[in-house]
Amino acid sequence: MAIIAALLPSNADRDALQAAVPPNDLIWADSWRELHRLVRRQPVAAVVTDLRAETRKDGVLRVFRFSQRFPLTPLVAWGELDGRELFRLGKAGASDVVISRDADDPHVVAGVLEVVLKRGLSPLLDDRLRGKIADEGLAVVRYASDHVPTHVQVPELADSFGMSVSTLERRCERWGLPTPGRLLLWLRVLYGLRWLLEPGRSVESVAYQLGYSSGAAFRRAIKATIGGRPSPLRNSRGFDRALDKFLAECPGDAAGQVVA
Amino acid sequence: MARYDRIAPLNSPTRTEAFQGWLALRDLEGRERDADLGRRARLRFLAVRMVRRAIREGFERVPTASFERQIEGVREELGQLATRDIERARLADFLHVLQARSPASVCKALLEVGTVARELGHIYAAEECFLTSQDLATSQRHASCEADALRAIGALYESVGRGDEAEVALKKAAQLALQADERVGWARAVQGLAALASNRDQPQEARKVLQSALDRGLEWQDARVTAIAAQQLAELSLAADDVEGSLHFAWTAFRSAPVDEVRAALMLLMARAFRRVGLFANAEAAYDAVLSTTSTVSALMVQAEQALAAAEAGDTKSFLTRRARVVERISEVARQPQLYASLHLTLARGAILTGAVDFARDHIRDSIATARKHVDAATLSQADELLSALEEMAAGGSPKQFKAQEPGPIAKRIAGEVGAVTV
Repeated sequence: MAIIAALLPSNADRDALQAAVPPNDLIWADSWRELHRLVRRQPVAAVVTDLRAETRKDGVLRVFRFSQRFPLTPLVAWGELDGRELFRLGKAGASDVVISRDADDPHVVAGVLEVVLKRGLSPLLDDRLRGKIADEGLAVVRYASDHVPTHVQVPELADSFGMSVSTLERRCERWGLPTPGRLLLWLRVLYGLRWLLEPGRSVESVAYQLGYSSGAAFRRAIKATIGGRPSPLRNSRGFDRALDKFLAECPGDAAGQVVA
Repeated sequence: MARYDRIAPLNSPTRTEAFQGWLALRDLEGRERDADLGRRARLRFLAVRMVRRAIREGFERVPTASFERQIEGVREELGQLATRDIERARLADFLHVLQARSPASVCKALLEVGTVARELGHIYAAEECFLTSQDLATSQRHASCEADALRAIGALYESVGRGDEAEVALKKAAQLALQADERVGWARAVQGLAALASNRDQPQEARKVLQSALDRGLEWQDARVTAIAAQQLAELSLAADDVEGSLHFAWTAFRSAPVDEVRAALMLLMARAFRRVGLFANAEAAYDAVLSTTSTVSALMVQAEQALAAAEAGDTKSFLTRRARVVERISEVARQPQLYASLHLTLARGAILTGAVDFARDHIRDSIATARKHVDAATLSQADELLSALEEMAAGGSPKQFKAQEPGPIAKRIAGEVGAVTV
């Protein structure tokens, strides 16, 4: 599952977060400095932080600095937030907020985290594939992309659309998409390359984040899709090149183009 | 806390870049220390977030206890607004509707919340409420509600000079209303498109659009559609100084309008037209008829216009009495900047006509201050015109006299007929 790094000094807040997220998916930081270190070194998919974690510090400014440094890692601000703070948090780049009153409701907290974990690749893929792939095919890509951080596998993907694996394979062929297995492989690679755009992230940490057993396994996935090694791809041009290659493997079908 | 704010100079994110509901807070831009606005912004944000949650999880699937708890939390915070605050009442209604979990009613209640925010001059909050209402309607495939939301969005965009976006929204609203067989909704969307064309200095285009709506209303034999189209045609004619045409359309629409609210609006329009042609007694009667049906807040505007009518008729004493009556209650609408500025402008006009220079100066000053605070360019330009007239008077010029047009045969005939009806 996706790992969440949290900076919550209060035990009550920690308990509340633990009630919403499986405990194995949480790692705790004691300061903003440690939070930055964790994100650099660990396969962190999102961050939750109390705005008042450090006294006499402007929490919103800390959020701004974090989002500048790790623009692809969503940050959820936590705490008693008045209108002004909520406004400033939006400008500072927070991905979402959990206000104190809702903090002990696991449904609300889990809902907020689900939304931020789904952010990322989906809108980009939606944009590029629309007009090429039929709506049903797009829905599969969207679901797969939304669930890559939670390590979705082919049977679960098929199941969520009420199909058997073989039916999903046939449908993907008809929609002009790669096989479901290859689709997931591509999406993991694209996610990984995107995360690698953030400074300080290691190939190993990204590999773990995507559910690979080692950095070498992720490198093999890159070789099997784009060819070559990840390091030369650690820039936005590299990511764009990878995205183009993926799109080339999604020719779409005439029906999809007519629908669009 | 840092000694100076490093967040304030940052550019604001777009709606899609920021977290859900953030746009409802954006009115705080440049006014971050406004505690009252901060409280309102937070309440609107929390209200919108609950709807977004229901859209995301599905109205039926949101756990009841969790949802109720959120609603109760917001309800408790409503106590931060004054008991008679209009936004508090709307938000309380909204929470009540949300508790019942009827998507169509929630769409409507959220539009009401947005409308109040708009009246208070909080454009971004209104935009967020309208857009969220639209998202909810889309997710529920409720064409009629989506058309309502799009119409509100179109009107809002038009008022802030985002004409192209307004046009897209209004065209889609018209299309959806037709799909849902909501003829009145369709007519209102067309009315919005005509107003847009008119504001773009394309009166012919506006007239064409409205004429086609009028024809369709007659073809459908739908009195409400006909009344809406004719009302807008009447307004357009009056704006073009065609009093005869305006009265013809207004009177035709009035006789077929089945709804009191529409009839009152048409009567108000006729009162203005009568003033233009110097039929002040008829204007007075029409204003009285409107006042007998209008709610308290709109009544203030009608009273201000009635005061202006007295000034135009040269009846200084009546003007001053009526002006005093409006001034006594004007603070009630201080939170509705557009209305507040319009009231002051109307009274300033009357004061200039009657030579009450001091009153005129006070009213113009108040309207300029309000318009500047809420970036209302149209009011500012009108206030500037009045200020020039005032300066002319101060330089020794005589008070500007109101020059009425000669009433034509249509105006005379309708004036006679209007006297016999009530709203």
